[in-house]
Amino acid sequence: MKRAIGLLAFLAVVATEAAAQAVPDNSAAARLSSGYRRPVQLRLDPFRHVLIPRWGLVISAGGLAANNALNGNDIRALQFIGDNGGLQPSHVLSALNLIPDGSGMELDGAGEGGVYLGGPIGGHFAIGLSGQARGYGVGLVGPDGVRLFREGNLASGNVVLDEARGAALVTAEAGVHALIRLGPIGSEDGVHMSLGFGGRKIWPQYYAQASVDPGSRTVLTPDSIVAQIGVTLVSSDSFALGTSGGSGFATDFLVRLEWPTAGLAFEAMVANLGSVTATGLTEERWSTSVSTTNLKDAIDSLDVADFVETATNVERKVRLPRVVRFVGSAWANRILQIDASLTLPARNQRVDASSPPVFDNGVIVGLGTTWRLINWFPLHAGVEINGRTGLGYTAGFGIEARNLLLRVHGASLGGWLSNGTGAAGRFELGFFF
Amino acid sequence: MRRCASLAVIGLAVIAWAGCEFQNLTEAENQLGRGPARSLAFEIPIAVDTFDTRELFDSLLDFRTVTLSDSLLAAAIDTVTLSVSNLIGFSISNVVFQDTVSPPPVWEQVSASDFDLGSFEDAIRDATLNSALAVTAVTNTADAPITLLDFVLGVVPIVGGKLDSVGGQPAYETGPGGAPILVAMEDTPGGRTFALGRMQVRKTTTLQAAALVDRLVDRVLAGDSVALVASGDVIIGDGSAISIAPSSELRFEIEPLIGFDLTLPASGVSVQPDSNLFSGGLDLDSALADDLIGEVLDSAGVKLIIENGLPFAMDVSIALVSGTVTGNVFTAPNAVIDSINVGAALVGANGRVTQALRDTVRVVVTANDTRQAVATDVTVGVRIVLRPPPGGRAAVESQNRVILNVRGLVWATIGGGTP
Repeated sequence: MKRAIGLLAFLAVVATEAAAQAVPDNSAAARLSSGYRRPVQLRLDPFRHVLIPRWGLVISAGGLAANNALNGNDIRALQFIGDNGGLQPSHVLSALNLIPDGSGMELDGAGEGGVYLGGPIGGHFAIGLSGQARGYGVGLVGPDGVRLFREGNLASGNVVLDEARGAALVTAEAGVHALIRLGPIGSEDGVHMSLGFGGRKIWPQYYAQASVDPGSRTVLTPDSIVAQIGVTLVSSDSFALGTSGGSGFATDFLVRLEWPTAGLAFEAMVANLGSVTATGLTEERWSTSVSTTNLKDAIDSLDVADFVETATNVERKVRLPRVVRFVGSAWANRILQIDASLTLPARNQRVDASSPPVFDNGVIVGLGTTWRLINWFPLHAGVEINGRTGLGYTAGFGIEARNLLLRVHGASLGGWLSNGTGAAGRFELGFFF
Repeated sequence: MRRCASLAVIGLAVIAWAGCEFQNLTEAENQLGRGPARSLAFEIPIAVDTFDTRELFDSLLDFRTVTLSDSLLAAAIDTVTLSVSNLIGFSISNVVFQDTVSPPPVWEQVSASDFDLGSFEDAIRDATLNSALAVTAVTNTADAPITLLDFVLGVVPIVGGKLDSVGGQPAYETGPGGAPILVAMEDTPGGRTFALGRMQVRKTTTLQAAALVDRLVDRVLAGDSVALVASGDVIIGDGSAISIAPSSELRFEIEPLIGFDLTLPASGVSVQPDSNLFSGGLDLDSALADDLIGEVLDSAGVKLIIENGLPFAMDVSIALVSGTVTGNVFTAPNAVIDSINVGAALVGANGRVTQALRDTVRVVVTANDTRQAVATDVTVGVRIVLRPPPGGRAAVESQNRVILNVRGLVWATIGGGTP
C-alpha cells in the first residue's frame, strides 16, 4: 500500500512536467539519441549501456559507501585521533552519540567494475554482454543496541541485540541483456517502447555474514547483569577467485516509454531478482550466558568466550538486494532535462523464514537536472533523499561523442561534501565504432 | 571556458570533500563531540555479598569465634590450665581408702596476651558482658574416684607474686554487693559436688560465668595482675581399693568464652581492624583513566544497600588513598574520607535481632576523587563505630548476617561540543 501511494505521488510530481513544451527541432534535446537520455544511476543499473545506439566497449567502475551517523569530518577526526594517541572510550561514546535518535547504526556499501560489449542489431533490437565484479556490504546495529550508551540504564536496562548483523558479498558476474525497441506506436509522435530483459550468472568470490542469534539480549539493571548473546559468523576462508565458491543467477527487466517529440520518458526497472548460493563456508559461533549480580563475574565471562568453529563446508543461500526503480524524465526547455526517480525499499529480504535478513536498501527519491549547453557535453546536478542517509547531492559530467563515451559522476550523501555521511562515484569510459 | 569552469568546480568540490585537516586533538575531539549534549546515568551492580556474623567478625577480629548452644556468638580466649598433684601427700597402691582433703588453691596468672581481642578490645572493655561461659575440662589421672566438694572458680589479685588473701582465704574479687564473684563447679545446680570416676581422663562442664569473666577481662585489660583461682575440698576414694601415685594429677583446663551479648555505652565503641581493608588497584591504564574521567565522567559513587542483621547501628568511615599504605590510612596525606551511617536491626528485650533493617546509603565523589580511586594502586581503610540499639543491649547470634548490595553510580556527559 505504501509503495502504491509512493508511486502515485511520484507520478503526480512528474506529470506536472508532462505539460512541458514539445521539443523544438533544432534544440539539443531533439538531436539527442534516446540512449543518452537515461539519467546516470550511481547504483545498480544493468541496462545502462545496452540502450546506447552504437556498438562499443565500455569500461566502468563505481562505488558507494554511506552510513547514517558519521560524516566525512567525523571519519577524518577518528583517523586523526587514531594516529595521534589512539582512540579512547570517550571518542567511541562521542561517535555513538552522532547516531540519530531512534535509529541504530546503519552502514551501506556497494561497488562494481567491469566491461560491457554490445550494440544494436537492426533498428529494433540491441544486445549487450557484460563481465562485472560486484560487491555488496551492509552493517546494522538496532536502536536498542546503542541506546544504552546514550541514555544510561536507569530508564531501561533491557537491550535487545538480535537486530544487529553484517554481511559482505563479492561476486563475479557474466551477463547478457537484450532490448527490444518498439514504436513509434500510433503515430509519428507516438510512444516509443523499449522492453529490456536479461540475466547474469553470478559466482561468489567472497562471502561473510555475522548475525546475532534471535533472542539475544543483555540486561544491565541496578539489580543484575544478564547477557544471553550468541553470534554466528559464516565466511569464506579466502577469496575464491573463480567458480568454486558457488553460483547464482539474477534476472533484470526494464520497460521504458518515450515520447521524443514531447520530451517525456517513463521507465520502470526491476533488477537483481535472484539469489546466490555461497559454498565452502566456515561457520563459527560465539556465545555467552551469564546472569549475575557481580560485575566481575560478568567481565570474566567475556574473557572465557571465544569463537568456536562449528561447521565447515557450509552453504548459504543469499537473496540479492532487489532494485525496483521508477524514473520519469522531461525536457523543461531546449537544454534542460529534468529527471525524477524513485527506488523502492527492499527490506528484510529473507531466503526463508528461518534465515536472517541480509541485504536490503531503503527508499531513495532523486531529482536531477541535466544541462546540455553543448549537446555532447552534459552537465548534471541533482539531489537525492535517501531513507538511510537523508538529503544528498549529485553532480557529474559526460562526453558523449560519436566514438567516445566518458562519464564522471559523484554524489555526496547525507550532507554536503565533508558534512555528508556517504559518498558515491562512477566512472565510465567507452569506445564506439 | 565553461568546461574549465566545470572542471574547476568539480576539482574544488573534490578538494573540499577531501576536506579540512585537523591541527590538533582538540579540534578532532570537538568535531566528534558535535552531537547533542546528553547526560548518561548508570547504576551498575558490582557485588552482592552476604556476610554471616562469624565471617564478618573473623575478618575484623583476631581471635576464634564459637557458637554457643543458644546460638549466641562468642569469642574464645586462651585456655587457662590449673593443676594439682599428689593430693594426699603420699602414694598408695590398691588400698581401701576414703578421705576428704583440702588442697591449697590452684591458680594461674592471666595476662593481657591471653586476651588478644584485637580491634574489639575496646568494645569488650567498655561494654558489660551479659553472657560468658567458662568451659571447664577436669582431668583425673589417679586410679581413684574423686569428687570435688564446694569447688569454686574465682578471680584473685596477685600481690608480691602471691595470691592476695584475707584470713588465710583467697581475696576473691567481689560484686557490687560485696559478695565474692564465684562460680561453683557442680554436677547439678546447688548440688555442691562434681564427681569424676577412676581414670576418667576428661569430664567437661560449661559454667555460666558472666560476672566472673567480665571482671577477669576488665582487670586484665586494665593492666592489673590477677589470677584465675580454683579452690575447694576433694573427696578421694569411695571406700574401695584405690591407687594414687605422686604423679597423679587433678587438672583443670578452663576456656573462657565471651558471649557477644553486650550492653554498649551510649557513645558506642570503636572497632578498627589492625590491617587496611584493601590494597591493590584496578590496574587501569592511566591514559584510559584520564580519558574516562577527564572527558566523560561528571561524578561517580557507590550505592550501598545494606540489610543489617546485626543488633548494632554502625558509623562506617572509609578512607581511600593512592598508593600502597601500610600504616593508618586515615592519617595519610590526600586521603579521601567519607562516612556512612547504618541503622541497627530491630531487637527484643534480650538484645537479640527480631528483624533486619534495610538501609540505603550513597557515597558520591567528584571526578577528581574518582581519579584516585582508579589509580594503579589504592589502599582502603575502614573504621567502624558500633552504637547500641535502643535499650543498649545487643546480643549477636551466629545466624545474624549482613547483606551488602554494592552498586556503582556513574554520571557522565557526552556531546554538546562545537566543531
